[in-house]
Amino acid sequence: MSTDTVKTKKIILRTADKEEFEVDEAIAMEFGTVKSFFEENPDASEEPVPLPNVSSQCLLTIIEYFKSRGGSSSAEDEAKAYNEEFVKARDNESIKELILAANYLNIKDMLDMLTQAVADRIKNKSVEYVRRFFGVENDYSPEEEAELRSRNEWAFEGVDPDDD
Amino acid sequence: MEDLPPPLVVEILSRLNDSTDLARCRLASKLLNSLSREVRSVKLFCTLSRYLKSRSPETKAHVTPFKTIFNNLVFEARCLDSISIGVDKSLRDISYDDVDDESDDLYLTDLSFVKQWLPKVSGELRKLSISDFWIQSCWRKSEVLSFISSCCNGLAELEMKNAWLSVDGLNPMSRLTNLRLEFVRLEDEDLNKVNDCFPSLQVLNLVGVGGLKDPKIRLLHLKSCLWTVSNAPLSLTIFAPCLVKFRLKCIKPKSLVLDTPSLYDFHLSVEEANNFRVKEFCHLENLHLESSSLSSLLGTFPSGKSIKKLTVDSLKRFEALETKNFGLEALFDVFPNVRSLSLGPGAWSEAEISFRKAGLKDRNAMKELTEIVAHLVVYDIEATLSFIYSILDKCTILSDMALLLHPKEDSGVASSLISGCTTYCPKVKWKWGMWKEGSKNMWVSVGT
Repeated sequence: MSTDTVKTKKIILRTADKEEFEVDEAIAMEFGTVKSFFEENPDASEEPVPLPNVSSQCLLTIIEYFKSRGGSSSAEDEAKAYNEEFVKARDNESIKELILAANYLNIKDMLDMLTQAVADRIKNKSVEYVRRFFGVENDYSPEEEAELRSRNEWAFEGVDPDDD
Repeated sequence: MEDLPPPLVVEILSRLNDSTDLARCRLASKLLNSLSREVRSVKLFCTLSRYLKSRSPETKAHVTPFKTIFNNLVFEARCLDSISIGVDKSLRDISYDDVDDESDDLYLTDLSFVKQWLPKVSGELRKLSISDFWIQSCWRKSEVLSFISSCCNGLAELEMKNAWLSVDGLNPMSRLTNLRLEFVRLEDEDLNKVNDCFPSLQVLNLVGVGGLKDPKIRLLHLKSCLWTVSNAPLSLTIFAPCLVKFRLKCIKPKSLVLDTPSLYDFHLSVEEANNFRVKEFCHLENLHLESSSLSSLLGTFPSGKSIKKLTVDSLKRFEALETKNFGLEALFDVFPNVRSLSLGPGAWSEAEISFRKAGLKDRNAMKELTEIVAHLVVYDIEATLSFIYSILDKCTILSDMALLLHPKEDSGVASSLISGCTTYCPKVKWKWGMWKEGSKNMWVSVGT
């Protein structure tokens, strides 16, 4: 028997790998996609919301982020410090996956935070690092590359040695 | 692993805070090269190392001139809505005496330079920031503001730093909502031109702006203002009916007149406020006061019934502490509805001295207070504890108290403080920490 006077409403989310997660309504409504789903289907409150583009691992991470971050009432510096810790622990691949998930779920603040974190990571890094991060191949011919390089030579002073 | 879709890649590239990184990304692949052209900003800053290389005889032939790099970036971009050009902080700190520099290569508010690139982008430009190189800009007045105002019709944000700016020929910029001037000599004595030509301003920052005599800010849409005035005893006036947030730092203005009825958050730092005229604040909830003459400032402050969160500090130097001190009661006379109070080290010392001379008088308002943060300066731990106990006795609904000590206090003081307080009033939630000038507070957890 529930002793709370008001039961926190839970929403069920179903991920790509068919796992179901029960999430507090407050957190679920931070996801623009979920919010729109309920606006379009007002009677669907008991059914699981399908999220075919998000893996369970990813959703778990995102739910944890919101739970540990605390309400929006927490001080700006505390929120900033929390964001920094959250990002620091993750490698490039997992951040990329979180970006795709945050983009699909339409979580603007989280997406801003993650894209900024990536920009900060590739700051001052070599061309090779950038290629590896974005998963692109060098498709320039040697002459094209040389010409482009000489035009942008000024940009190549003081680059960080790659650390991974 | 899926690649990121192009719009997200552009979003990431747009968040790089220097176009140098963007230029490097161009070499990664043809796709990144073309996506980089979608980035709608150019941000270029001259580093100290580039400056030194451009002057050293061995390297200077190989260094592309800064202005050339910038011009190329602007011309290669497809569409720009934001431009930031400037010199790194390290260059700003170079002393005038160290360097004999009469060149123009980093004179960024040079009108002839700005005329080379601004016309190309002026139609779409929303944000412009120029941080000039003081050594090359301080000795000549620039007419660049007039030019910007004549061609950038859609500009919303303008920031100028380290320059000498004329306002002759300034045209109205009705879309400008944010203006930031830092370490600028502005030839607009009373700010008349600023008021007339930028009527839509919502955010105004004037930090270290020289050349002002009797400045009057008169802006009907202003919501947030930061104003730091250095030495000259100017009379300061501000008329801003929509102003919600105001941070004012000044020294000894001849007079200070505030007509800002909507103010919600006010941080005022003033050594001595002569002729302080301010209408009552009906909506002010957060107030931060710093002064060398706290008691007289409190005397002239209009009654602050709306204020819930109050921070107070004294700028008085220690030798002067024995003259007219402010006592804690004075705060509650002026601000009867305060819920949360924070006392800086100077304010705490003054209040403690006043307590030692005359005790702490009771005030009804003290029974509304729920939270106190105090930065302590301890000369005599027993005296400090006795003051704290007196506060605890009178603030009957106090639920949270945070005390911070300076690191130079020895650990004996800290442990006496903690054990004394927690024993005297265990129902209060105690928080402990350390404060230091110029640093953020550090909180420490103590085993319960």
